[in-house]
Amino acid sequence: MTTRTALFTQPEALAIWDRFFGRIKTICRPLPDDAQRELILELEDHLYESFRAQPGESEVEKLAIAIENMGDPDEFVRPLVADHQLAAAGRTMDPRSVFLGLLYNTSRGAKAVAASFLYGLGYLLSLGFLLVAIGKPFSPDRVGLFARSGGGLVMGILDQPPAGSTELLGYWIIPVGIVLSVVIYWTLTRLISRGRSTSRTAR
Amino acid sequence: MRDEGKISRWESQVRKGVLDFVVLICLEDTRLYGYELIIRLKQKAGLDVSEGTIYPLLNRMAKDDLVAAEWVEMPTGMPRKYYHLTREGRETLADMKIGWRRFTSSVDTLLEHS
Repeated sequence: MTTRTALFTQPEALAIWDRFFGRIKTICRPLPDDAQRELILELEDHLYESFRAQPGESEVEKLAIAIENMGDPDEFVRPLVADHQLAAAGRTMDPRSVFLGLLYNTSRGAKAVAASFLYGLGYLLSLGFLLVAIGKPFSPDRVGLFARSGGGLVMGILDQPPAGSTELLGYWIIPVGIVLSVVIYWTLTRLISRGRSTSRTAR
Repeated sequence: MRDEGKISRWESQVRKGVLDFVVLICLEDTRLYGYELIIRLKQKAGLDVSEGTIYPLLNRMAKDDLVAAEWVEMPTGMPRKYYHLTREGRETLADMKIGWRRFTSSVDTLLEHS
């Protein structure tokens, strides 16, 4: 219980308050402890000020209006978590921050969902190059960059290399795959950490 | 028959577009905390924003070094987070004001000749 909630006299109002902040705490769980604490303190301050500013006597009614005015936590807490994770991803290159950042970023709407999907494809490509590099020593005949006899290139881990094809890189596929994987991962992560945007909603 | 909904959506888009600008204007002469800023946006600028969405915006502006925040202990003992403009925020606001005047002036000119 915070100092602010101690000022409620109606238990129902306290329950509404706790439920609202319980939801916010769940959404902002990926944030570091300090960031979570600061965010919750700031939002508590906001909600309590708004609650006090509402006319009327009923704490439940005043709090309900204040919560409605504040909006859906999914709309304002998830973008904050996304921004934090994407900024952290840019600094640390941590795949967990990348994943959470892209996931939480989808709360910003259709454009953000599409962007997260495209970035996700890019990261899959990076993972693909890494898997090719790792897979080469285990299955040298089925992994590599193959030139088809009729023209065209195929790269990857294949069940059966195309008939008459020639493997071009041999074990050079290992450093090539690792370098491509790292370059794609690093570039995408720098892009998402710089390009993060913030949800804004005007009614 | 006039489509009131269309006008309302257009106004909403215009408001969304100037939200950063208006927040910087509100913080030009004073430091404000989140709720205070929302009240000012509503009362002075007629911007009816969903209150919670001001925080992702302030967070982004802080990351872009346009605003900075500080915690201040209130007489009740509870901390409160105040936002103020940084030097870069002031310079950006000055540039935005010039851009805004240029833009509104060109639209006004168009209106006069329409």
